Amino acid sequence: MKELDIIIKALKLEAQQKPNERIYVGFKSYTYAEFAEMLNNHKKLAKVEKEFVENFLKTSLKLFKENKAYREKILTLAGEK
Amino acid sequence: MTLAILVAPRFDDASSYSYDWSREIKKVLEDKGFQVIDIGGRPLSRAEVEKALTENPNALFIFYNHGNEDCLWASQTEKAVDEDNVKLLASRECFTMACLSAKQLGVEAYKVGCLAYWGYTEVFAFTTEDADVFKEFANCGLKFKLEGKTWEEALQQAKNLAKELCQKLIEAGKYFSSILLQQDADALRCYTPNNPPTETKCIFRKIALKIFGPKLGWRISRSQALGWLFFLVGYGVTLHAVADELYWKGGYAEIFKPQGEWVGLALVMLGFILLVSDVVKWLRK
Repeated sequence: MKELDIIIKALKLEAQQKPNERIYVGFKSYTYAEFAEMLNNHKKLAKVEKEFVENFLKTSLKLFKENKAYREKILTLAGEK
Repeated sequence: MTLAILVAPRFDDASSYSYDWSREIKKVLEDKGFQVIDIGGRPLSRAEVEKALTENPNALFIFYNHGNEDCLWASQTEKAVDEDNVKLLASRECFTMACLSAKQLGVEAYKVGCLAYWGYTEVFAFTTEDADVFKEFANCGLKFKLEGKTWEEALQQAKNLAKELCQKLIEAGKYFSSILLQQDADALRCYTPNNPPTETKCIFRKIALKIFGPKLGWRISRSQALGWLFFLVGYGVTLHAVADELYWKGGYAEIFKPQGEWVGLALVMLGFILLVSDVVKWLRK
């Protein structure tokens, strides 16, 4: 499994655990589940949303590579460890 | 008593959060002895923000609400500050908690002489789950400044705090929040005369920043750059054409003779240097 796929899988699981929590992104807001869904389909999004999601994925990948605790926890949550 | 203008409109869910976060900042300012002109809690108009800024030159300006690359929003339809009235931010410090404004508006503010512009180059995002953590991060910069730090130190401390908070969120298994907080921290900028903006999409500005450095590079206007470019290219073309003509007339010996053309071109260059020397001095200030 690719690193990004593992991260998205873990985030989807976190979203399932927290159905009432929301993310505010400028004027818009999403449930965790809606946002996690956007991570898979970001190429079809509008320009601003696409940029934001791509930046989100970039940051999450950077954390995955550079932060040991984050990496370990994400791998555990995604069932890859 | 030192004055601060706190502008925190409220007109949707997200701005209810930012308005709530601004209440803490108001209290901190008052505890530090500031007289706070507090405008917010409802949709605002551009006119009332402009009035507060015009009547209180040099007062610290604090803004909590939505933003865009080129503006800060007063309401869903009206801009409080944009490139048309950015001069109102000259000679004052500005602390903004708004999306994107450091990308363009903050740079314009820096160019017109804003003493410090605190803002974000990307969308500011937060989660409801950890709204308090995002509030702590969003408010910390001004608190550090009020504690006596310089803006540059406050920026570094804010980034350090974000790292700590991000780590805590990771330990608590809050991955959405940790990534978003890291993203917000990465987008945080504070432009001051000691820390000028360095990012731009314009290729010519990039070249100017690379050649002259950020302090000088941002002060060169487009018309100035074009003027210099046209003059120097035109001068080079003329120089080449004259030399070519002289060469065909009598070879290198003719070129190196004292000719009227050379005297004329030398005078043009001298005149140009004298004309632009004041501009260069102003740019270097």
